[in-house]
Amino acid sequence: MMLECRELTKWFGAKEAVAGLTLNLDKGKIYGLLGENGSGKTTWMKMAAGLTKPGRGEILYEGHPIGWRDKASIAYMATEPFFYDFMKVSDVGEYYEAFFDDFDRKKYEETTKAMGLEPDMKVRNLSSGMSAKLKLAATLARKAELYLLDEPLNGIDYKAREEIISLILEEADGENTFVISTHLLEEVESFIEYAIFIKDGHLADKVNLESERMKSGRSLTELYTDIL
Amino acid sequence: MGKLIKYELRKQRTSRMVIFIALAIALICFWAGVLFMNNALMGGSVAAMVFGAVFVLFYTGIEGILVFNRDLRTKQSYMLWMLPRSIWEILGAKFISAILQMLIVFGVSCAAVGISTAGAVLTIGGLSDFLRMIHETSKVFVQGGLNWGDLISLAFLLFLAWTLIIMTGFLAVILARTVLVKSRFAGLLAVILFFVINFVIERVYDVMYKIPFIAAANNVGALGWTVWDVIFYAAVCLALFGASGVLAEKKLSV
Repeated sequence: MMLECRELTKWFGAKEAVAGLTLNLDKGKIYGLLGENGSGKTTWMKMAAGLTKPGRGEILYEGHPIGWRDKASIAYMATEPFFYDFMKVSDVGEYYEAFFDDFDRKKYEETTKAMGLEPDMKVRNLSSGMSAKLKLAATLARKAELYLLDEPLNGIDYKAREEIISLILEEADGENTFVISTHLLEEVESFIEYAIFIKDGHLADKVNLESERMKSGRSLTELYTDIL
Repeated sequence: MGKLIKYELRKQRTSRMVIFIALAIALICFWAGVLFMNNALMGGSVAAMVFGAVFVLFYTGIEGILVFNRDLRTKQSYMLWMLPRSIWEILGAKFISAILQMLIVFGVSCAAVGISTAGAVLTIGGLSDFLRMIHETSKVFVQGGLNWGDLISLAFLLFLAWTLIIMTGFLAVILARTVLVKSRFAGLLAVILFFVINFVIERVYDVMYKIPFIAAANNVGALGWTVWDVIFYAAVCLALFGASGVLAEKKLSV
């Protein structure tokens, strides 16, 4: 087991964003994290990334309680732009290279170039689509064990989505684990192996899509509608 | 830690540039005053530089706290907290970069004041006046009862007091982003907490001097400080740093 979440709970004021969530992730799989807005996906992801502390419950990473050292093998991509305002595209690569041993600078430069991002572009001047591409290029240039991608396809045009999905599939080598939060079910249906359905902070269901297709023939959209 | 410090200093680059530009303007005014023999311009610009040097000493401390608050409040906080670095290393880097920022801007400001004054005396009065100025300054030191030991101990105690402000600020910000985060007035509470923590520290300090053997301790040099002041403020700074780290480790979410 790569990641084990036991009775994970997080409150924001009176609101229980994640409510006793128990969820296990295996090594080498691609998971889709699905749920309505405000269902607790981002909060769960931030807890798994070690950015947010659970109010109750625990997270085990490769068998031990998750700690700051584990961030070296967890690549988290937030849904919002988060790079420092003063940075240029090249500075982002320099920053990741300085702090993450698994970061491949050459790959980052190739990916950003392919995405139309010039090294001297100011991060704060990027459009939302370009900003999303930059976040992905930086995150996927790491050779992490666990990738947590929060809505990676948000704000990205159709053609670029194809490129991003190809990048993710290139990285998914059976040794690393991907968790991809998204509302774009049709875009991810072809490559995610498990769908994790979150509702009101609870785990509504975790479905092996291949088995489900064999058993009931339901598409991901149908499953989403039925479960949530 | 060096890499963290590098990026912390980068965050404060804009304010550093603003301070240097203001300093450059004051220097230009000063030398214009020297050139046109305008005493008001010379005096005003030197006064501005001296005031600026004292101001940046305090501002850099407050700025370190403000940057820390921003690092916890905005989405850019992920850049720092997603790194595989311990809270101690992050807080330590923030503290060291605040010191460096202070030393850089304060040092440059003091150097500007010193060089301007010496340059003006040399330009207007010639070498003999310049040497006399050095002699008079030395006399002030000797007759005023000041010596290098006193100056160093004063600088050290000022540094401790400055550190105390930063550490209190760090703890107040962390309290606001952890135990008080549910409150709508967390920011205001952090400011109030800052003053409350300072008040408590001063009360503890007063109580400490009610202990007979501490009250009887000899002053160090001519400045009226005792070794207990140093021990007290150093211990409080360490305690505040420890409390900030433990609280952040257990409770901090970004």
